[in-house]
Amino acid sequence: MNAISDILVLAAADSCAWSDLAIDVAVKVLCSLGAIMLVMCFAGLSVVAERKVCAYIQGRYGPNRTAIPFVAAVPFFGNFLKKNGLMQLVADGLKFLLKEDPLPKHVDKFWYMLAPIIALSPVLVSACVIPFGVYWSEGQMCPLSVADIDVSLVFALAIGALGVYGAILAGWSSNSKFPYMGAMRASAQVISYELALGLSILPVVLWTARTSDSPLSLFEIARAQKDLWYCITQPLSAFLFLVALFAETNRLPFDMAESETDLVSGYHTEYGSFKFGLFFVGEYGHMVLGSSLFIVLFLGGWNPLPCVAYPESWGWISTVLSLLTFIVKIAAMLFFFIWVRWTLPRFRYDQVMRLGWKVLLPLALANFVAYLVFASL
Amino acid sequence: MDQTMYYIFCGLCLGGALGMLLLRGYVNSAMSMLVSMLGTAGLLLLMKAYFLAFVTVSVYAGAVLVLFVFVVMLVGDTRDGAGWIKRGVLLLLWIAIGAVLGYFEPQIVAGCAAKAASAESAAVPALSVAKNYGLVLFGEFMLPFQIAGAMLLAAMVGVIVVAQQKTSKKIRKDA
Repeated sequence: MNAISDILVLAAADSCAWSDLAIDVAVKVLCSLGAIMLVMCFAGLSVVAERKVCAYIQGRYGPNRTAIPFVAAVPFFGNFLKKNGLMQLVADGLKFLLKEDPLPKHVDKFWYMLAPIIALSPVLVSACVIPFGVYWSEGQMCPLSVADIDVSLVFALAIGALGVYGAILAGWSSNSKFPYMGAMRASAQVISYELALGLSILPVVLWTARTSDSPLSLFEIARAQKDLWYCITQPLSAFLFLVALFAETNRLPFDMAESETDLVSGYHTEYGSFKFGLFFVGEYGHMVLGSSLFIVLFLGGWNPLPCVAYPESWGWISTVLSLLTFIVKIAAMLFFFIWVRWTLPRFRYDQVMRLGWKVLLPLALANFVAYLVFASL
Repeated sequence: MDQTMYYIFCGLCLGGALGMLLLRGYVNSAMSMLVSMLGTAGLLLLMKAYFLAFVTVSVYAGAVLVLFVFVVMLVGDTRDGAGWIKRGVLLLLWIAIGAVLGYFEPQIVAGCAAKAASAESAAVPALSVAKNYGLVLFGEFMLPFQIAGAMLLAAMVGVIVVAQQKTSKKIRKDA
Protein backbone atom coordinates (compact mmCIF):
# COMPACT_ATOMS: atom_id res chain seq x y z
CA MET A 1 0.00 0.00 0.00
CA ASN A 2 2.96 2.27 0.64
CA ALA A 3 4.06 1.53 -2.91
CA ILE A 4 0.93 3.19 -4.24
CA SER A 5 1.53 6.20 -2.05
CA ASP A 6 5.15 6.42 -3.27
CA ILE A 7 4.03 6.44 -6.90
CA LEU A 8 1.32 8.99 -6.29
CA VAL A 9 3.63 11.24 -4.32
CA LEU A 10 6.22 11.06 -7.13
CA ALA A 11 3.54 11.92 -9.68
CA ALA A 12 2.52 14.93 -7.62
CA ALA A 13 6.07 16.12 -6.96
CA ASP A 14 5.75 19.03 -9.40
CA SER A 15 2.49 20.42 -8.13
CA CYS A 16 2.13 22.66 -5.11
CA ALA A 17 2.30 21.66 -1.47
CA TRP A 18 -1.37 21.54 -0.57
CA SER A 19 -2.16 19.03 -3.30
CA ASP A 20 0.73 16.93 -2.02
CA LEU A 21 -0.83 16.98 1.39
CA ALA A 22 -4.28 16.20 -0.03
CA ILE A 23 -2.94 13.23 -2.01
CA ASP A 24 -1.00 12.01 1.01
CA VAL A 25 -4.09 12.16 3.18
CA ALA A 26 -6.26 10.55 0.50
CA VAL A 27 -3.81 7.66 0.07
CA LYS A 28 -3.64 7.14 3.82
CA VAL A 29 -7.42 7.11 4.03
CA LEU A 30 -7.64 4.61 1.15
CA CYS A 31 -5.03 2.34 2.76
CA SER A 32 -6.86 2.48 6.09
CA LEU A 33 -10.13 1.66 4.34
CA GLY A 34 -8.43 -1.30 2.69
CA ALA A 35 -7.19 -2.64 6.02
CA ILE A 36 -10.59 -2.06 7.65
CA MET A 37 -12.32 -3.80 4.76
CA LEU A 38 -10.04 -6.79 5.07
CA VAL A 39 -10.78 -7.11 8.79
CA MET A 40 -14.51 -6.49 8.36
CA CYS A 41 -14.83 -8.95 5.46
CA PHE A 42 -13.15 -11.61 7.52
CA ALA A 43 -15.28 -10.75 10.55
CA GLY A 44 -18.43 -11.09 8.45
CA LEU A 45 -17.36 -14.26 6.70
CA SER A 46 -16.31 -15.85 9.97
CA VAL A 47 -19.85 -15.39 11.28
CA VAL A 48 -21.14 -17.47 8.38
CA ALA A 49 -18.22 -19.88 8.76
CA GLU A 50 -18.98 -20.23 12.46
CA ARG A 51 -22.53 -21.35 11.71
CA LYS A 52 -21.54 -23.62 8.86
CA VAL A 53 -18.63 -25.27 10.68
CA CYS A 54 -20.60 -25.74 13.88
CA ALA A 55 -23.39 -27.30 11.84
CA TYR A 56 -20.88 -29.63 10.18
CA ILE A 57 -19.39 -30.61 13.56
CA GLN A 58 -22.86 -31.29 14.94
CA GLY A 59 -24.03 -33.19 11.85
CA ARG A 60 -26.43 -30.52 10.59
CA TYR A 61 -26.61 -28.45 7.40
CA GLY A 62 -26.47 -24.98 8.88
CA PRO A 63 -28.02 -21.96 7.17
CA ASN A 64 -29.04 -23.00 3.63
CA ARG A 65 -32.37 -21.30 2.94
CA THR A 66 -31.46 -17.64 2.56
CA ALA A 67 -30.71 -16.92 -1.10
CA ILE A 68 -31.23 -14.33 -3.79
CA PRO A 69 -34.51 -15.11 -5.60
CA PHE A 70 -34.19 -17.23 -8.76
CA VAL A 71 -30.45 -17.79 -8.22
CA ALA A 72 -31.12 -21.53 -8.33
CA ALA A 73 -31.83 -21.16 -12.05
CA VAL A 74 -28.14 -20.52 -12.78
CA PRO A 75 -26.80 -23.58 -14.66
CA PHE A 76 -24.32 -25.90 -12.88
CA PHE A 77 -23.74 -23.70 -9.81
CA GLY A 78 -27.39 -22.91 -9.07
CA ASN A 79 -27.81 -25.40 -6.27
CA PHE A 80 -24.54 -24.36 -4.62
CA LEU A 81 -25.37 -20.66 -4.88
CA LYS A 82 -28.75 -21.28 -3.31
CA LYS A 83 -27.57 -23.40 -0.42
CA ASN A 84 -24.13 -22.04 0.55
CA GLY A 85 -25.65 -19.75 3.18
CA LEU A 86 -23.57 -16.71 2.27
CA MET A 87 -26.70 -14.61 1.91
CA GLN A 88 -27.42 -15.31 5.57
CA LEU A 89 -24.72 -12.74 6.32
CA VAL A 90 -26.54 -10.09 4.30
CA ALA A 91 -29.84 -11.03 5.88
CA ASP A 92 -28.39 -10.79 9.40
CA GLY A 93 -26.82 -7.43 8.64
CA LEU A 94 -30.08 -6.07 7.23
CA LYS A 95 -31.94 -7.37 10.26
CA PHE A 96 -29.55 -5.51 12.58
CA LEU A 97 -30.04 -2.34 10.56
CA LEU A 98 -33.80 -2.46 10.16
CA LYS A 99 -34.91 -3.67 13.59
CA GLU A 100 -36.17 -1.19 16.14
CA ASP A 101 -33.32 0.13 18.26
CA PRO A 102 -34.48 -0.22 21.85
CA LEU A 103 -33.19 2.13 24.55
CA PRO A 104 -34.14 0.75 27.98
CA LYS A 105 -35.23 3.33 30.54
CA HIS A 106 -32.92 2.19 33.34
CA VAL A 107 -29.60 2.56 31.50
CA ASP A 108 -26.95 5.27 31.73
CA LYS A 109 -27.55 6.62 28.24
CA PHE A 110 -24.18 8.20 27.45
CA TRP A 111 -22.04 5.17 28.22
CA TYR A 112 -24.72 2.79 26.93
CA MET A 113 -24.52 4.43 23.50
CA LEU A 114 -20.74 4.75 23.55
CA ALA A 115 -19.89 1.19 24.65
CA PRO A 116 -20.49 -0.60 21.30
CA ILE A 117 -18.29 1.96 19.53
CA ILE A 118 -15.52 1.52 22.11
CA ALA A 119 -15.78 -2.24 21.63
CA LEU A 120 -15.30 -2.09 17.85
CA SER A 121 -12.99 0.82 17.13
CA PRO A 122 -9.75 -0.42 18.82
CA VAL A 123 -9.88 -3.53 16.66
CA LEU A 124 -10.02 -1.48 13.48
CA VAL A 125 -7.32 0.91 14.67
CA SER A 126 -4.82 -1.77 15.56
CA ALA A 127 -5.33 -3.42 12.17
CA CYS A 128 -3.25 -0.61 10.68
CA VAL A 129 0.09 -2.01 11.87
CA ILE A 130 -0.39 -5.64 10.76
CA PRO A 131 1.97 -6.39 7.84
CA PHE A 132 -0.39 -8.27 5.52
CA GLY A 133 2.34 -8.85 2.95
CA VAL A 134 5.55 -7.49 1.48
CA TYR A 135 6.67 -5.46 -1.49
CA TRP A 136 10.07 -4.35 -2.70
CA SER A 137 10.97 -0.75 -3.22
CA GLU A 138 14.49 -0.03 -4.56
CA GLY A 139 15.75 -3.39 -3.33
CA GLN A 140 14.37 -2.82 0.16
CA MET A 141 11.79 -5.17 1.62
CA CYS A 142 8.81 -3.17 2.91
CA PRO A 143 5.66 -4.25 4.74
CA LEU A 144 2.23 -4.05 3.15
CA SER A 145 0.73 -2.23 6.13
CA VAL A 146 -0.90 1.15 6.66
CA ALA A 147 1.69 2.30 9.21
CA ASP A 148 5.20 0.93 9.58
CA ILE A 149 6.44 1.90 13.04
CA ASP A 150 9.29 0.26 14.90
CA VAL A 151 7.15 -0.63 17.94
CA SER A 152 4.12 -1.97 16.08
CA LEU A 153 3.90 -5.02 18.37
CA VAL A 154 3.43 -2.79 21.43
CA PHE A 155 0.96 -0.68 19.46
CA ALA A 156 -1.19 -3.68 18.49
CA LEU A 157 -1.24 -5.02 22.05
CA ALA A 158 -1.88 -1.61 23.64
CA ILE A 159 -4.76 -0.62 21.38
CA GLY A 160 -6.20 -4.13 21.36
CA ALA A 161 -6.32 -4.06 25.17
CA LEU A 162 -8.58 -0.99 25.08
CA GLY A 163 -11.39 -3.10 23.63
CA VAL A 164 -12.24 -4.43 27.08
CA TYR A 165 -13.64 -1.01 28.03
CA GLY A 166 -16.50 -1.73 25.64
CA ALA A 167 -17.49 -4.77 27.69
CA ILE A 168 -16.95 -3.03 31.04
CA LEU A 169 -18.94 0.07 30.09
CA ALA A 170 -21.72 -1.96 28.49
CA GLY A 171 -22.04 -4.05 31.63
CA TRP A 172 -21.97 -1.10 33.97
CA SER A 173 -24.24 1.25 32.03
CA SER A 174 -26.87 -1.44 31.47
CA ASN A 175 -27.67 -1.14 35.19
CA SER A 176 -28.76 -4.73 35.38
CA LYS A 177 -27.49 -7.82 37.15
CA PHE A 178 -26.24 -10.16 34.43
CA PRO A 179 -24.48 -7.57 32.24
CA TYR A 180 -22.75 -6.29 35.39
CA MET A 181 -21.45 -9.74 36.24
CA GLY A 182 -20.37 -10.27 32.65
CA ALA A 183 -18.41 -7.02 32.72
CA MET A 184 -16.72 -7.95 36.01
CA ARG A 185 -15.69 -11.28 34.59
CA ALA A 186 -14.43 -9.70 31.38
CA SER A 187 -12.21 -7.22 33.20
CA ALA A 188 -10.84 -9.85 35.60
CA GLN A 189 -10.10 -12.17 32.71
CA VAL A 190 -8.33 -9.53 30.66
CA ILE A 191 -6.13 -8.48 33.60
CA SER A 192 -5.22 -12.08 34.33
CA TYR A 193 -4.37 -13.18 30.82
CA GLU A 194 -2.68 -10.04 29.57
CA LEU A 195 0.38 -10.83 31.70
CA ALA A 196 0.74 -14.30 30.23
CA LEU A 197 0.14 -12.88 26.76
CA GLY A 198 2.87 -10.28 27.12
CA LEU A 199 5.35 -12.66 28.71
CA SER A 200 4.84 -15.32 26.04
CA ILE A 201 5.81 -12.81 23.34
CA LEU A 202 9.07 -11.73 24.99
CA PRO A 203 11.07 -14.81 23.85
CA VAL A 204 10.05 -14.03 20.27
CA VAL A 205 11.29 -10.45 20.65
CA LEU A 206 14.48 -11.77 22.21
CA TRP A 207 14.99 -14.14 19.29
CA THR A 208 14.36 -11.45 16.71
CA ALA A 209 16.75 -9.07 18.48
CA ARG A 210 19.66 -11.31 17.48
CA THR A 211 19.20 -10.55 13.78
CA SER A 212 17.29 -7.28 13.69
CA ASP A 213 17.76 -3.82 15.11
CA SER A 214 14.10 -3.13 15.96
CA PRO A 215 12.72 -6.39 17.36
CA LEU A 216 9.46 -4.83 18.53
CA SER A 217 8.33 -4.33 14.94
CA LEU A 218 5.85 -6.91 13.62
CA PHE A 219 7.44 -6.61 10.19
CA GLU A 220 10.92 -7.45 11.50
CA ILE A 221 9.53 -10.36 13.53
CA ALA A 222 7.81 -11.87 10.49
CA ARG A 223 10.86 -11.17 8.35
CA ALA A 224 13.13 -13.04 10.80
CA GLN A 225 11.04 -16.18 10.19
CA LYS A 226 12.04 -16.77 6.59
CA ASP A 227 13.79 -20.00 7.60
CA LEU A 228 12.27 -21.60 10.67
CA TRP A 229 8.96 -20.31 12.00
CA TYR A 230 8.80 -19.44 15.67
CA CYS A 231 6.09 -22.02 16.27
CA ILE A 232 8.79 -24.62 15.50
CA THR A 233 11.63 -23.06 17.49
CA GLN A 234 9.42 -21.87 20.37
CA PRO A 235 6.43 -24.23 20.61
CA LEU A 236 5.73 -23.41 24.28
CA SER A 237 5.62 -19.66 23.65
CA ALA A 238 3.25 -20.25 20.74
CA PHE A 239 0.97 -22.45 22.83
CA LEU A 240 0.88 -20.00 25.75
CA PHE A 241 0.17 -17.11 23.40
CA LEU A 242 -2.62 -19.07 21.74
CA VAL A 243 -4.30 -19.94 25.05
CA ALA A 244 -4.02 -16.34 26.26
CA LEU A 245 -5.37 -15.17 22.91
CA PHE A 246 -8.46 -17.34 23.30
CA ALA A 247 -8.97 -15.77 26.72
CA GLU A 248 -8.38 -12.23 25.44
CA THR A 249 -10.85 -12.62 22.59
CA ASN A 250 -13.45 -14.10 24.95
CA ARG A 251 -13.80 -17.21 22.85
CA LEU A 252 -14.94 -20.51 24.21
CA PRO A 253 -13.51 -22.28 26.30
CA PHE A 254 -12.93 -18.90 28.02
CA ASP A 255 -16.32 -17.43 27.20
CA MET A 256 -16.74 -15.88 30.67
CA ALA A 257 -18.05 -12.46 29.71
CA GLU A 258 -21.16 -13.76 27.97
CA SER A 259 -21.54 -17.33 29.08
CA GLU A 260 -25.07 -18.01 27.95
CA THR A 261 -25.67 -20.81 30.44
CA ASP A 262 -25.36 -18.64 33.53
CA LEU A 263 -25.44 -14.98 32.41
CA VAL A 264 -28.22 -14.87 29.76
CA SER A 265 -25.83 -13.27 27.25
CA GLY A 266 -23.44 -11.39 29.49
CA TYR A 267 -22.52 -7.76 29.04
CA HIS A 268 -24.71 -7.19 25.98
CA THR A 269 -27.90 -8.63 27.42
CA GLU A 270 -29.60 -5.22 27.32
CA TYR A 271 -28.51 -4.44 23.77
CA GLY A 272 -30.44 -4.99 20.59
CA SER A 273 -30.40 -4.23 16.90
CA PHE A 274 -27.34 -2.47 15.49
CA LYS A 275 -25.68 -1.80 18.85
CA PHE A 276 -25.58 -5.53 19.46
CA GLY A 277 -24.37 -5.90 15.89
CA LEU A 278 -21.36 -3.69 16.69
CA PHE A 279 -20.45 -5.88 19.68
CA PHE A 280 -20.85 -8.93 17.50
CA VAL A 281 -18.62 -7.60 14.72
CA GLY A 282 -16.14 -6.34 17.31
CA GLU A 283 -15.80 -9.81 18.79
CA TYR A 284 -15.12 -11.38 15.41
CA GLY A 285 -12.86 -8.51 14.42
CA HIS A 286 -10.88 -9.14 17.57
CA MET A 287 -10.56 -12.76 16.48
CA VAL A 288 -9.29 -11.72 13.05
CA LEU A 289 -6.78 -9.37 14.62
CA GLY A 290 -5.63 -11.98 17.14
CA SER A 291 -5.21 -14.49 14.32
CA SER A 292 -3.12 -12.00 12.34
CA LEU A 293 -0.94 -11.36 15.39
CA PHE A 294 -0.45 -15.08 15.93
CA ILE A 295 0.41 -15.54 12.27
CA VAL A 296 2.94 -12.71 12.31
CA LEU A 297 4.50 -13.81 15.58
CA PHE A 298 4.59 -17.57 15.20
CA LEU A 299 3.37 -18.75 11.80
CA GLY A 300 5.89 -16.99 9.61
CA GLY A 301 3.74 -14.06 8.51
CA TRP A 302 3.48 -13.97 4.71
CA ASN A 303 6.00 -16.81 4.13
CA PRO A 304 4.27 -19.80 2.54
CA LEU A 305 6.25 -22.61 4.20
CA PRO A 306 9.17 -22.88 6.62
CA CYS A 307 12.43 -22.31 4.71
CA VAL A 308 10.44 -21.14 1.65
CA ALA A 309 10.05 -17.44 0.89
CA TYR A 310 8.75 -15.58 -2.15
CA PRO A 311 11.76 -14.29 -4.13
CA GLU A 312 12.29 -10.61 -4.75
CA SER A 313 12.82 -11.22 -8.49
CA TRP A 314 9.14 -12.05 -9.01
CA GLY A 315 8.23 -8.44 -8.29
CA TRP A 316 4.54 -7.71 -7.84
CA ILE A 317 3.60 -11.38 -8.25
CA SER A 318 5.44 -12.02 -4.98
CA THR A 319 3.51 -9.19 -3.37
CA VAL A 320 0.16 -10.60 -4.43
CA LEU A 321 1.20 -14.11 -3.41
CA SER A 322 2.37 -12.91 0.01
CA LEU A 323 -0.94 -11.15 0.59
CA LEU A 324 -2.87 -14.25 -0.51
CA THR A 325 -0.75 -16.44 1.78
CA PHE A 326 -1.56 -14.19 4.72
CA ILE A 327 -5.27 -14.29 3.90
CA VAL A 328 -5.27 -18.08 3.64
CA LYS A 329 -3.50 -18.27 7.00
CA ILE A 330 -6.07 -15.98 8.61
CA ALA A 331 -8.84 -18.20 7.24
CA ALA A 332 -7.11 -21.28 8.65
CA MET A 333 -6.69 -19.63 12.05
CA LEU A 334 -10.36 -18.61 12.11
CA PHE A 335 -11.33 -22.17 11.29
CA PHE A 336 -9.15 -23.30 14.19
CA PHE A 337 -10.88 -20.82 16.53
CA ILE A 338 -14.28 -22.13 15.49
CA TRP A 339 -13.17 -25.75 15.68
CA VAL A 340 -11.95 -25.29 19.26
CA ARG A 341 -15.15 -23.49 20.22
CA TRP A 342 -17.37 -26.37 19.15
CA THR A 343 -15.06 -29.05 20.56
CA LEU A 344 -14.06 -27.98 24.07
CA PRO A 345 -16.53 -27.38 26.92
CA ARG A 346 -16.57 -24.10 28.81
CA PHE A 347 -14.37 -23.58 31.88
CA ARG A 348 -15.88 -22.57 35.16
CA TYR A 349 -14.94 -19.06 36.31
CA ASP A 350 -12.64 -20.18 39.14
CA GLN A 351 -10.97 -22.63 36.77
CA VAL A 352 -10.23 -19.79 34.36
CA MET A 353 -8.64 -17.74 37.12
CA ARG A 354 -6.63 -20.67 38.45
CA LEU A 355 -5.39 -21.56 34.97
CA GLY A 356 -4.38 -17.97 34.31
CA TRP A 357 -2.51 -17.22 37.52
CA LYS A 358 -1.21 -20.62 38.61
CA VAL A 359 -0.39 -22.32 35.31
CA LEU A 360 -0.02 -19.90 32.40
CA LEU A 361 1.81 -17.09 34.22
CA PRO A 362 4.52 -19.27 35.87
CA LEU A 363 4.94 -21.25 32.65
CA ALA A 364 5.34 -18.05 30.63
CA LEU A 365 7.87 -16.69 33.13
CA ALA A 366 9.86 -19.92 33.15
CA ASN A 367 9.75 -20.03 29.36
CA PHE A 368 11.06 -16.48 29.14
CA VAL A 369 13.86 -17.11 31.65
CA ALA A 370 14.82 -20.30 29.82
CA TYR A 371 15.15 -18.44 26.51
CA LEU A 372 17.00 -15.64 28.27
CA VAL A 373 19.57 -18.12 29.57
CA PHE A 374 19.71 -19.88 26.21
CA ALA A 375 20.18 -16.66 24.28
CA SER A 376 22.93 -15.38 26.56
CA LEU A 377 24.94 -18.61 26.32
CA MET B 1 -1.00 20.50 11.88
CA ASP B 2 1.29 19.54 14.75
CA GLN B 3 0.22 22.61 16.68
CA THR B 4 -3.46 21.77 16.30
CA MET B 5 -2.82 18.20 17.39
CA TYR B 6 -0.85 19.50 20.36
CA TYR B 7 -3.73 21.63 21.54
CA ILE B 8 -6.22 18.79 21.01
CA PHE B 9 -4.13 16.40 23.09
CA CYS B 10 -3.53 19.04 25.76
CA GLY B 11 -7.27 19.58 25.90
CA LEU B 12 -7.84 15.84 26.32
CA CYS B 13 -5.25 15.72 29.11
CA LEU B 14 -6.56 18.67 31.08
CA GLY B 15 -10.22 17.98 30.37
CA GLY B 16 -9.80 14.39 31.48
CA ALA B 17 -8.01 15.43 34.64
CA LEU B 18 -10.68 17.99 35.49
CA GLY B 19 -13.43 15.51 34.70
CA MET B 20 -11.78 12.96 36.96
CA LEU B 21 -12.02 15.41 39.86
CA LEU B 22 -15.32 17.08 39.12
CA LEU B 23 -17.64 14.47 37.61
CA ARG B 24 -20.07 12.54 39.76
CA GLY B 25 -20.02 8.75 39.69
CA TYR B 26 -16.95 6.58 39.83
CA VAL B 27 -17.15 5.21 36.29
CA ASN B 28 -17.31 8.75 34.90
CA SER B 29 -14.19 9.60 36.90
CA ALA B 30 -12.35 6.48 35.77
CA MET B 31 -13.21 7.13 32.14
CA SER B 32 -12.05 10.75 32.45
CA MET B 33 -8.77 9.38 33.72
CA LEU B 34 -8.63 7.15 30.63
CA VAL B 35 -9.15 10.19 28.41
CA SER B 36 -6.38 12.02 30.26
CA MET B 37 -4.02 9.06 29.79
CA LEU B 38 -4.80 8.84 26.09
CA GLY B 39 -4.09 12.55 25.82
CA THR B 40 -0.72 12.03 27.49
CA ALA B 41 0.05 9.22 25.07
CA GLY B 42 -0.88 11.54 22.22
CA LEU B 43 1.54 14.20 23.49
CA LEU B 44 4.28 11.58 23.68
CA LEU B 45 3.43 10.58 20.10
CA LEU B 46 3.89 14.18 18.99
CA MET B 47 7.37 14.05 20.55
CA LYS B 48 7.93 10.92 18.41
CA ALA B 49 8.40 8.89 21.59
CA TYR B 50 6.36 6.02 20.14
CA PHE B 51 7.50 3.34 22.54
CA LEU B 52 6.75 5.46 25.60
CA ALA B 53 3.33 6.40 24.22
CA PHE B 54 2.23 2.84 23.52
CA VAL B 55 3.62 1.53 26.78
CA THR B 56 1.63 4.25 28.56
CA VAL B 57 -1.52 3.10 26.80
CA SER B 58 -0.75 -0.57 27.37
CA VAL B 59 0.22 -0.37 31.04
CA TYR B 60 -1.87 2.49 32.40
CA ALA B 61 -4.93 2.52 30.16
CA GLY B 62 -4.99 -1.20 29.35
CA ALA B 63 -4.08 -2.75 32.69
CA VAL B 64 -3.93 -0.38 35.67
CA LEU B 65 -7.14 1.45 34.90
CA VAL B 66 -9.00 -1.78 34.13
CA LEU B 67 -7.91 -2.91 37.58
CA PHE B 68 -9.18 0.37 39.08
CA VAL B 69 -12.54 -0.03 37.39
CA PHE B 70 -12.71 -3.66 38.46
CA VAL B 71 -12.05 -2.83 42.12
CA VAL B 72 -14.35 0.16 42.07
CA MET B 73 -17.16 -1.91 40.55
CA LEU B 74 -16.57 -4.67 43.07
CA VAL B 75 -16.69 -2.29 46.04
CA GLY B 76 -19.57 -0.31 44.59
CA ASP B 77 -20.60 3.30 44.81
CA THR B 78 -20.92 4.05 48.52
CA ARG B 79 -21.81 7.70 47.88
CA ASP B 80 -20.83 8.94 51.34
CA GLY B 81 -18.90 12.19 51.09
CA ALA B 82 -15.87 13.00 53.21
CA GLY B 83 -16.44 14.49 56.69
CA TRP B 84 -15.84 18.20 57.31
CA ILE B 85 -12.50 17.59 59.06
CA LYS B 86 -11.19 15.67 56.04
CA ARG B 87 -12.52 18.34 53.71
CA GLY B 88 -10.87 21.09 55.72
CA VAL B 89 -7.55 19.27 55.76
CA LEU B 90 -7.77 18.66 52.02
CA LEU B 91 -8.53 22.33 51.42
CA LEU B 92 -5.53 23.35 53.54
CA LEU B 93 -3.32 20.91 51.60
CA TRP B 94 -4.49 22.31 48.28
CA ILE B 95 -3.79 25.83 49.45
CA ALA B 96 -0.32 24.78 50.64
CA ILE B 97 0.44 23.12 47.29
CA GLY B 98 -0.78 26.21 45.49
CA ALA B 99 1.40 28.43 47.64
CA VAL B 100 4.50 26.28 47.07
CA LEU B 101 3.89 26.17 43.32
CA GLY B 102 3.18 29.89 43.24
CA TYR B 103 6.47 30.59 45.01
CA PHE B 104 8.62 28.30 42.87
CA GLU B 105 6.65 28.38 39.62
CA PRO B 106 8.60 31.08 37.76
CA GLN B 107 11.87 29.25 38.29
CA ILE B 108 10.39 25.84 37.44
CA VAL B 109 8.81 27.03 34.21
CA ALA B 110 11.88 28.98 33.13
CA GLY B 111 14.19 26.07 33.93
CA CYS B 112 12.05 23.54 32.08
CA ALA B 113 11.65 25.77 29.04
CA ALA B 114 15.39 26.40 28.81
CA LYS B 115 16.11 22.70 29.22
CA ALA B 116 13.54 21.73 26.60
CA ALA B 117 14.85 24.32 24.15
CA SER B 118 18.41 23.06 24.48
CA ALA B 119 17.48 19.38 24.45
CA GLU B 120 14.94 19.40 21.62
CA SER B 121 17.23 19.03 18.64
CA ALA B 122 19.28 16.21 20.17
CA ALA B 123 16.52 14.31 21.94
CA VAL B 124 13.93 13.75 19.21
CA PRO B 125 15.73 11.09 17.13
CA ALA B 126 16.88 9.37 20.33
CA LEU B 127 13.31 9.27 21.66
CA SER B 128 11.89 7.50 18.64
CA VAL B 129 14.11 4.41 18.93
CA ALA B 130 12.78 1.83 21.35
CA LYS B 131 16.24 0.43 22.05
CA ASN B 132 17.43 3.64 23.71
CA TYR B 133 14.89 3.28 26.51
CA GLY B 134 16.32 -0.09 27.48
CA LEU B 135 19.88 1.22 27.35
CA VAL B 136 19.08 4.24 29.51
CA LEU B 137 16.84 2.36 31.91
CA PHE B 138 19.35 -0.42 32.54
CA GLY B 139 22.41 1.83 32.32
CA GLU B 140 22.17 5.38 33.54
CA PHE B 141 19.03 4.98 35.67
CA MET B 142 19.65 1.47 36.96
CA LEU B 143 19.65 2.44 40.64
CA PRO B 144 16.42 4.51 40.66
CA PHE B 145 14.78 1.78 38.59
CA GLN B 146 15.77 -0.91 41.11
CA ILE B 147 14.72 1.25 44.07
CA ALA B 148 11.33 1.87 42.48
CA GLY B 149 10.96 -1.87 41.89
CA ALA B 150 11.85 -2.65 45.50
CA MET B 151 9.37 -0.05 46.77
CA LEU B 152 6.60 -1.51 44.60
CA LEU B 153 7.42 -4.99 45.89
CA ALA B 154 7.28 -3.74 49.48
CA ALA B 155 3.94 -2.05 48.81
CA MET B 156 2.58 -5.23 47.25
CA VAL B 157 3.67 -7.37 50.22
CA GLY B 158 2.14 -4.79 52.55
CA VAL B 159 -1.16 -4.90 50.70
CA ILE B 160 -1.22 -8.68 50.83
CA VAL B 161 -0.50 -8.65 54.58
CA VAL B 162 -3.23 -6.07 55.26
CA ALA B 163 -5.79 -7.87 53.11
CA GLN B 164 -4.87 -11.23 54.61
CA GLN B 165 -5.39 -10.01 58.18
CA LYS B 166 -8.86 -8.76 57.40
CA THR B 167 -10.04 -11.94 55.79
CA SER B 168 -8.55 -14.24 58.45
CA LYS B 169 -10.27 -12.17 61.21
CA LYS B 170 -13.51 -12.39 59.32
CA ILE B 171 -13.19 -16.14 59.00
CA ARG B 172 -12.51 -16.42 62.75
CA LYS B 173 -15.56 -14.33 63.47
CA ASP B 174 -17.67 -16.51 61.22
CA ALA B 175 -16.41 -19.68 62.91
